[in-house]
Amino acid sequence: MINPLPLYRKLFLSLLLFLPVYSLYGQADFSDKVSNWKTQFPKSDFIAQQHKETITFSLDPQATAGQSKVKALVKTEITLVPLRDYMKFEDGLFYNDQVSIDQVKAINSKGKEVLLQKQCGSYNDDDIFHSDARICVVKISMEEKGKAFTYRYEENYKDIKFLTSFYLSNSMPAVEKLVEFQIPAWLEADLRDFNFNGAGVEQVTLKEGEITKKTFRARDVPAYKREPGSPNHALSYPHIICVTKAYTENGQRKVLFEGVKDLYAWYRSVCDSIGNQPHQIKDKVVQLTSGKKTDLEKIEAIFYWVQDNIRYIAFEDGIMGFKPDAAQNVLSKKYGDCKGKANLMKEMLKLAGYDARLTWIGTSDLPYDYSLPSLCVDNHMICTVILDGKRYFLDGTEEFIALNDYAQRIQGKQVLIEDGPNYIIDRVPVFPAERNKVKRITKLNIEGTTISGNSQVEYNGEAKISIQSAYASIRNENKTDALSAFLRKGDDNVVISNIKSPDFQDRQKMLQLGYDFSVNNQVTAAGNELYIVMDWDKDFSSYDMEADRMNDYEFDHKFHYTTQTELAIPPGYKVEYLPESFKKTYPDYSFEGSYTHKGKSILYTKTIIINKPILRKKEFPEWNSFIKSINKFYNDQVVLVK
Amino acid sequence: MAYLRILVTGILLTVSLLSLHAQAPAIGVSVEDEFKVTAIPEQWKNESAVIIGQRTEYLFTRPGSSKSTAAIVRISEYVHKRIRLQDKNALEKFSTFYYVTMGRDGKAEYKIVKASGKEEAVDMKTAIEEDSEVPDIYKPIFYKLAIKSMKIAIPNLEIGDIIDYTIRSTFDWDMKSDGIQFTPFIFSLSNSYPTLYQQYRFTMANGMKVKYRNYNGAPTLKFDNKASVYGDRESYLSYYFMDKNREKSSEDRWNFEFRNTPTVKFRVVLLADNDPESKGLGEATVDRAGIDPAAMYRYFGGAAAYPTTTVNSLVGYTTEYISKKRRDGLLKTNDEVIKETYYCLRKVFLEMYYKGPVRSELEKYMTGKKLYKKVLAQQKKEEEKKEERQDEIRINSITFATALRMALAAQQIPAELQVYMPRKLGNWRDAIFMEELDFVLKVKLKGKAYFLEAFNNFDAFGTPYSYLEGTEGYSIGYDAPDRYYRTPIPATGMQDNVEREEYAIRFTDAMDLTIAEKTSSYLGNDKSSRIGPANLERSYLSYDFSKYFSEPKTNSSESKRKKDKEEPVVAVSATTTDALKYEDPDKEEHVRERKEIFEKMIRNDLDLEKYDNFELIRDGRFGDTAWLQYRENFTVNKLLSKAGKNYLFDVGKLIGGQIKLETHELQGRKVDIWLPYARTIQNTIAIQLPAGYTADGLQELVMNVDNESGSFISTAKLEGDKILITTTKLYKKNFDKKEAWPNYIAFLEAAYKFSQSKLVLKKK
Repeated sequence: MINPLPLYRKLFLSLLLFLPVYSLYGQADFSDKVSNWKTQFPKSDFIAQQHKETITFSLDPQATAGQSKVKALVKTEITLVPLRDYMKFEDGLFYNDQVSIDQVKAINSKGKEVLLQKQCGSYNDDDIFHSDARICVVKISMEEKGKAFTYRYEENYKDIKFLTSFYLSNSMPAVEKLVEFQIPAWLEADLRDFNFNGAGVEQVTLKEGEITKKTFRARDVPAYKREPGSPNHALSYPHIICVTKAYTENGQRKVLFEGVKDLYAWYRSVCDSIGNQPHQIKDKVVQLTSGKKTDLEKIEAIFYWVQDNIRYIAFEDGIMGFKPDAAQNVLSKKYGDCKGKANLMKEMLKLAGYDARLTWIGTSDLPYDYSLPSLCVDNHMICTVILDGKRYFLDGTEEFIALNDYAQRIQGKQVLIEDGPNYIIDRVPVFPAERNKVKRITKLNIEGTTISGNSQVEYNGEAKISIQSAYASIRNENKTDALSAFLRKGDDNVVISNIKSPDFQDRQKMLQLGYDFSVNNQVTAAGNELYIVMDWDKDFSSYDMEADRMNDYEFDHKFHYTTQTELAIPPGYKVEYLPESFKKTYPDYSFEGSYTHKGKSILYTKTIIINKPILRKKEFPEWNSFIKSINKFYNDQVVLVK
Repeated sequence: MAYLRILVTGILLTVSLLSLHAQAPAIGVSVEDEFKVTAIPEQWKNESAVIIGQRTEYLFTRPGSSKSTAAIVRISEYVHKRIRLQDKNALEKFSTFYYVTMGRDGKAEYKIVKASGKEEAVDMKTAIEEDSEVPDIYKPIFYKLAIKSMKIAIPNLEIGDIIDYTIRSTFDWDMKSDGIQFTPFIFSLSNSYPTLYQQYRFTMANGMKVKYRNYNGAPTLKFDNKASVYGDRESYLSYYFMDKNREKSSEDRWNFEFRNTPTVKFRVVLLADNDPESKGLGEATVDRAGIDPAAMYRYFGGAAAYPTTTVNSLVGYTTEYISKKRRDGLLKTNDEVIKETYYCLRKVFLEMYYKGPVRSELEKYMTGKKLYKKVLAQQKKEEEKKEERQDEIRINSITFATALRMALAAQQIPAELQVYMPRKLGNWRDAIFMEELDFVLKVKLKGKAYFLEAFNNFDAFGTPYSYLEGTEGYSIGYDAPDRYYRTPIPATGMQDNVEREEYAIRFTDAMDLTIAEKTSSYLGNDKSSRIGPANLERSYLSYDFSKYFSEPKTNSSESKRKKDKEEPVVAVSATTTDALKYEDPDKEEHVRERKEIFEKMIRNDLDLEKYDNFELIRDGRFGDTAWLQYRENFTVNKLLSKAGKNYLFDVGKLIGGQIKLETHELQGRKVDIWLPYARTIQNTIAIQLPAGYTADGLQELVMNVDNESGSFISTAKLEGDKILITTTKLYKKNFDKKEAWPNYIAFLEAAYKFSQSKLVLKKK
């Protein structure tokens, strides 16, 4: 039986049909504004006069067990204005097994839908071997500059838990950016904002019947820009995380992710079916731990073996993005991702008799902690082993890291440790810059205008690990040249010889490198005087931030450099001039350098400490003045006279 | 009846297939003993990986004579590689295996030989389909687009393992669409890892031949009678070449891989049905002959005789303009006519491009090299990126050659087509495929031959291109049929390619910054990387448009009738006023962008405090000595350093980054030296001596190294309150034998030493 549409619905539908057409005849020609926008956004070929994302929610009555009842639809509509004639607009729309892209449309300035090119395929990330990530590349041929197109598409979220972040910045600048959540009365959603400080985001809440509209509005939003040293955008760019806590259906309240306990419960449900077969890995555990006397030695044996022998290859296809591969598979394939490695370590350690647990963590790329019950809160898995009440965090994806040492990227981050039906929240310890200490002791002699000498350098922490990793990854036949180039720091005037190579495999001890060298252009002779540069490394001298830099700057890690250089005064010479000592100390970084005349030699000392991994844009002026003063110190040199 | 016919056809087909299968040899059936080696020679034990064996085999068959298969040549490919992984770098690199299989029997097999000798087969069912293309090293030679690529993460792989894989593919080559000459290949036998053993093999049905040539010590092709199959109707002859103990490729400076390393070229060709050789049942032949000049003439002759609508437009306008100027007595000599014809054609081309209604369409037809030639895969990879520079558009070579030849013919001036072998591939006698060759137009002016590459926005008449330097080839004339003759393209000299940079330097009162005014002038090859960005604001277009403006013809009935008979043309400008000028809609942006580009170039060499100004003085697009010249003003940090009350000035840095030879380069050179072109690099630095200071160390700046390959000569003197420094670095040749390498060490080391020099400013 066919149900004829009631009259009011017909009317409503025709109104709906009319509305978009009507809106199209809004302003579509912005030719008069192009010049201003070009000045305002000088590097952009397009701008969004308005970029609006509208998020609506629905309950799916047909959802079966295991399927999400709550769905979300994100409609994006962009008033796209080209700033040059006849440009080709290109956009990449990401989707995966949980999110589909539909209704991709472009409407030209005359209100006519135009044909767009759409090519979809898998999205390859260098770090991930295989995933369900897909991308549709959309191309639209635009008209003259200033003639706006309406570009729109929809993202359908099959499962509400995958709806997480909304950024106010995009790949092109927006004159006005709007993110509007239309939250129905049956849904409890929490909208958490990040990096809103000083971003000028307006928030408006309106109640329209059963719907609460929460709108975030930003104006004149610049485009994302990738620059060297840019931190992950979650750390700097304003964004909103949508936490869907619970919904009510037929008077019954059903919890989604109300708190971390719900997030943990879901993770646990996923990890319940890993299918580990401990007996298949037992022989390896016995082999690794036999002959080891102490508990720590046994734990180290397993941890280090996984680091060294399990290649990092990630499969993030569907649920595999959350569920570790079984321990026996990882062991036999000798590859796995962070989850696979964590799970293998856990099972091996359990077989060895230790209390080991899977542990979720968000790396330093993410500004969140577990007060935010969302899938975006973590991006990594490690293993925690508890020994005599002390928790050791084992990251199997690190290379050459020792037990009880932690990479910068996980230091200070909250961890979620499994504990049966419960969970434990803890935090990875934070180390000061001294953990990464590089100590250089150098002796210099002068013959003519050539400096020769030798150095002993100790590397610790991240400085040590990065050398070990780089050295291991270089082709065998190139290792010696590469090490020499590293010690020269790219300076072609330095010739390195007699490198005393350390054990590059050792995790516990500092890495010590000794070598001889000669340098050709650091002594200038003029008449009876010698001008001598005693520090040609000039660490951090080029670290000033450019005035037009858009992003904060993230260092690889914290730094602690100390240098002691002793120059033997050549016979017949005496000290005419030594540069003044210099010291500058800020709460997060400092520099101290001095020259001292001691009998027949000159002692140069330098200490640089950078105790903060990220420099914020607002800190750039102070930082640049710091670097300028360092350079002034570096730019002075010793004068000897006959 | 119908059933009977089907049955008969079926039986016939089966018989035909059976007879084919009975005769065609199989490929990849045997594994040579060389593949069984596990011990690595001592000298390669420290290498990242060693290729123990690699065998690539092709079988070319004709699947049948039915209507659907008559034009098909079936190419079966078999690749077998065995590689020992000796470090982590290799382990990571080979951690993922990619492959492409084509055809029903296409498959890959992979096994790992552990250090213990145990073999572990990899389950290929775990392979995943990949959307993106597989890396080049895993691509088959005969490759079709839109085929599936696969990848697999290799399990249980460890350092010390030997990986051993085979890939089989079958590819049907359709002669109707793809032609009778299969993809040609040029490659060096030096791989990225040392190779103990490698073999390439072709087995062909009769009626085919392989063109093969070995260079620089590569092995010769051999006939393998044992592997050949002789039949009454079909025969299959097998050829192979084998190479052993080959060192890995090196990355020498100034090196053309195909001229310096063992290289082979080959291609399988199906003989045309009317070729007498194709009728015989017997032998395929190995063709070691080079290019037949007559065939070259047939292949390339049309390149300067290919009129299209675009050509007609270019020639029509240009002829009208040039003829009028001649009538008005403004162009007197043929030399003037030739140059102005060239420039006028360029104006019309640029006008079509920058003012044309549908730029993308014009781009499709007028630019690039797509119209006429297929570029070799290898060549394409290494081809100079001629069309990717800033705001540069280049006319299609055929359109250019035809249009310029026709426009000159309209003025009774002959022009020829010069077909040449690009330098990096070899001499003329090294060429065996038409695809290796390229062409330019040749005109004679003032008794000298000019070789004109298809122009871009910026080329001055006769602009040199490094790939033409000293090449060998043939000229094709158009005044009579079958006229072609052997002639080279001469190399340019060091006086033709000049980089001249003049600095005026002073210091701030605080002696912390260096204030520089730099005037840069470039000529010839040295101009090419800078001329596009320097002219980015496009004011040259207005100059061209007004200089080469020709009043449109009146629309009289006579001219209309005449026009009706003419070839169709592309209309460009609507009105006279429009035609005379060019308004760049993005001028401000282009000016800003230009400044940023040049600022970045300075930043590459110096620590810039501030980049103030860029001023274009000469655009470099016209004239016999078409200098590109511009001036920049900027302030630099860190060139001055303090030493007590005195200062040191890093004057050497102002001559730009100089080559620092690596230790192994200082020890000698094993291969000949292929420089891009001879050149002169001159620097003049005038330093305003700050009040109260004297200069010391000038004598250290005086150098003089001069030999037959090159030189570095510098002078330094004090003139009043100015220090004047000059340097001249000459690369005198574009080629030298390796024995001349010490000459290069001498002048390059001197130049480097100068670049590290400092000047002492002493407080009086």
